[in-house]
Amino acid sequence: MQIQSKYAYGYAAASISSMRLCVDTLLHVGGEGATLEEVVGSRIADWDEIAAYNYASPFPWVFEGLSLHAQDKLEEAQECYYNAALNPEYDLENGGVTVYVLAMLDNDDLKELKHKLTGLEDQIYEAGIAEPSKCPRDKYCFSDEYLNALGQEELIASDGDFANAMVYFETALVVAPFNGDNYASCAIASLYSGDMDKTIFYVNEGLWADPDHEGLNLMAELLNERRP
Amino acid sequence: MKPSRLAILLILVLTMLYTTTVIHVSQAAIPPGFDRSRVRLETKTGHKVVLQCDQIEFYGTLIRQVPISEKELEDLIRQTMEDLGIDSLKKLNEIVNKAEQWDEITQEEIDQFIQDLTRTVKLVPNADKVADILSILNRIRTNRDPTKSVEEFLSGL
Repeated sequence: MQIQSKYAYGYAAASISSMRLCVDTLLHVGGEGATLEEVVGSRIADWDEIAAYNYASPFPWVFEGLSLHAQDKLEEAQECYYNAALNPEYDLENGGVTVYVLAMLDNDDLKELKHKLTGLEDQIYEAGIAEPSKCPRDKYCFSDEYLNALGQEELIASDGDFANAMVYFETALVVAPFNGDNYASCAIASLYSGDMDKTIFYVNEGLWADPDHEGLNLMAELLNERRP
Repeated sequence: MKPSRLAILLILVLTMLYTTTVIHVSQAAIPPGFDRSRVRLETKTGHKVVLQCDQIEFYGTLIRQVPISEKELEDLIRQTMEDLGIDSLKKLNEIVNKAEQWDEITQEEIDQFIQDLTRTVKLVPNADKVADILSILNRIRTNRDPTKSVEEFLSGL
């Protein structure tokens, strides 16, 4: 359940904070504050950091695109929209409505919206469950398959040392916490790193998410055989 | 703000929020005689109760809305124990005591476990340590085809 909580809170954090940062940018473009930093205040102002709360959310790319669009940085904006569209979770047919509605708001509307969004942000972060991944952001990070492939390459590059590969395997799990394969990767990585507590944790959590997973059941059987 | 715009924005924000899972974590009502610090109870409507005793977790199903009363939680824990064949607190404590021994696991035992795992997935170890690790990884990841390379992933898009 801990992994699912992290997924849910991380997804909400990435989505709401990116919308809030976009609103801040639109406010600044509309004449609010001497600098963007002044409008943002103490809240997160880095797109990569926001996205890292859960790469499964396509919204950081969408709202970063709109922010760049509003600053007439059209090529960069287009690239962000393209990156959002790569993510199957992004609703290509209706997603444009969000961008259209936000772009139409005047500063009073935006301030009202910001007030609502900051309230939601506070609730999300107060829970203390969401945390950003250490895996660097790129346009394919929404995919657990891709992240596992990166983890595997890191493992080869480090000659079997799981320390760096673990970052990718754990990020893959946060992106897709309902697939037993991602728990299996983390369990194996933990085992080779000599951390039996984490191995057992991932096997247990994985069997809850995916009770019939053959590989996890095999590991559980072996663990139970060796139980003192 | 114009009502139509406000409605659209609220719908957008609520849609974003409700596509995520809302999780309620409740303080467990622990049966008398059991160390409260060893038990974690997580509840989510329609899902599960976890009695976590160190590394061992016992799963049950919660079939009603939260919050529920202390008495109901206690009954639920007892029912979960019963369903899992843990018929007494004595037995539960025995299991916990065994679980504590996992803390003392040595590197040799972990190596032995890896050897067992290698044998169980029918892998014949070769001189290439990394290739062996990747083979084990792919044989344990049984939901899909073996993990793709980055190149294969990109060409599949």
